[in-house]
Amino acid sequence: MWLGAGAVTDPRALARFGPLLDVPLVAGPVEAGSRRTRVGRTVVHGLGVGGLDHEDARSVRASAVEDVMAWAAARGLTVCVALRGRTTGDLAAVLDRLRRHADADVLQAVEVDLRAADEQEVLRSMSRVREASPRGQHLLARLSVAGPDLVGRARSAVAGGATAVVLAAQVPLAPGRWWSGPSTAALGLSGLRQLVEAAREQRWPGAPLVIAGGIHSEESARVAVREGAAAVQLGTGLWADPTLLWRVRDAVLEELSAPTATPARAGRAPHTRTTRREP
Amino acid sequence: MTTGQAATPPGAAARARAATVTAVRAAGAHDVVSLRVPDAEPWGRCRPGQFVVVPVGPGAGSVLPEVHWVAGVHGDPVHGTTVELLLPVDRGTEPGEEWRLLGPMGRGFAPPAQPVPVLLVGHEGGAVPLRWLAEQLRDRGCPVHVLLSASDPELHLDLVHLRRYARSVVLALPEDLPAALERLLDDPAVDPAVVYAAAPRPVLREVAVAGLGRQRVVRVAALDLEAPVVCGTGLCGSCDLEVGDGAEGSGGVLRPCLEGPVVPGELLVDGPTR
Ligand code: FES
Repeated sequence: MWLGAGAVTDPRALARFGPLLDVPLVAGPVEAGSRRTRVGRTVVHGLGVGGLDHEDARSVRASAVEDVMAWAAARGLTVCVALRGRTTGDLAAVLDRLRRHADADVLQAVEVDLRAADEQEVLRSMSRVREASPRGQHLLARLSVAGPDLVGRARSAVAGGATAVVLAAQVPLAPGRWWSGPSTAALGLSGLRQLVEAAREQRWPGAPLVIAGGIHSEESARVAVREGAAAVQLGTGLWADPTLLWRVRDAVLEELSAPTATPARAGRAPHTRTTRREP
Repeated sequence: MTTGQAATPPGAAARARAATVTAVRAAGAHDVVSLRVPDAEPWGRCRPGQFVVVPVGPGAGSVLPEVHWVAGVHGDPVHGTTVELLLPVDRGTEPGEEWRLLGPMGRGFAPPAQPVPVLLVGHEGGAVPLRWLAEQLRDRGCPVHVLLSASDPELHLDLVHLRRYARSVVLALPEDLPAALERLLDDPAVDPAVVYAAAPRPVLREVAVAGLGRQRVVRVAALDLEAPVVCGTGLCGSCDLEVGDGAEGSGGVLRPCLEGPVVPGELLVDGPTR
């Protein structure tokens, strides 16, 4: 179970509604050069049937992520850092700083935003992030389902060191502007099927798939798991109802442990451990 | 840097609570909606300026929740606890509807320690918290004066109710509000020690500047529920307000739905105009 960075801009707010012991808090998106102290001012341009037209969350500086790390450390929670960068050097610089932080052991995962990246960029970025990460660090590559050659980009992500692929099922409306909501569920499922099928045909090595987009109910999460998702990420669905998180988490766990559920996954289940990474 | 702690302590807003619409009564452009809630707690501690979030199931079409000011809480041993909301007539609320509520959320208006004169300033439907606040302050012995602005007289909020509790109610067009505010602040017959405001941000800033400039205590509800609200639960950041040293992203950030909505007027005066 993962949280969408642009949607949950302050995980501390979410913690008021229930325990987050088995859900990594999301921190960021963080980017070198940003001066912002808090992700915010989400801009929603309009609502429509089953979705909304919104801008990407603006990136924060590394110190904002460190605040979340310290908050999580004091409560025995873990953190997934959402990372952006214009260059591979920028990606590495932020990671390098976070790794040296006193609470670095709360970093359960790093999700690299590669929605706008082509195959080559995905490979370069993930390789650089892998180099800058400690051994065993869980790395998620966030890819846009709507972009060209999803299989090629997923292949590059895994070749670069990604341990899971996040399928962002938002519909691009303009640079930095997206359509999100339950109406994107079909897009997510199409991405999932492409990658599951391609793994079966050995067109990419396969990796756990996290579906991000269109998950707005327990049932939609169950369907995603049956189609081969190893985990789901909740985003704008939490704006509608933050308590959805715990209902969806329970539904996913139940579906994953159901004896009849033998989906054709593209990789083994992603690690969802609740304990911290060993130093 | 953020400006403070979440106003709702862990656990206080944690559960979605059941509520049943028991009555709907017309009051101008709004309906006064009474909701029966099963538990007296935490509603007994609810204050004007707190709000509720009505979660929605996005699968059913709507993708954002409803966020409403709490307009009153009443309890008695026979009928239990009733929460009052003021909702737009065109919402079409019907008795018998079953709701899930998150709340009461946020930090409300604290009454003054002494029964001092107070001035309440509001704009159109954003003035909902003041309707209940006027009731509470009058019950504490505070002389209550109200200044309301609206672009159309039809949009003033439940004046019958406000006139029952206030010594004076002054109505103004939005463009006349600053002058009317200054007149009331300087009027010896009003002489408010505390100014409370619930209105869009530009009005709140005017109130803060005018009130603080005259050494009055100013408390404002910095969440504008008349404007579209994305989540109301502190997740999205759409209500963020930059406060402090000004440059984009470098000063403090106040998230009213999480850390307010009621905050000292001083926080609005230092920030850049947005
Ligand atoms: S409305 Fe979403 S954070 Fe305040």
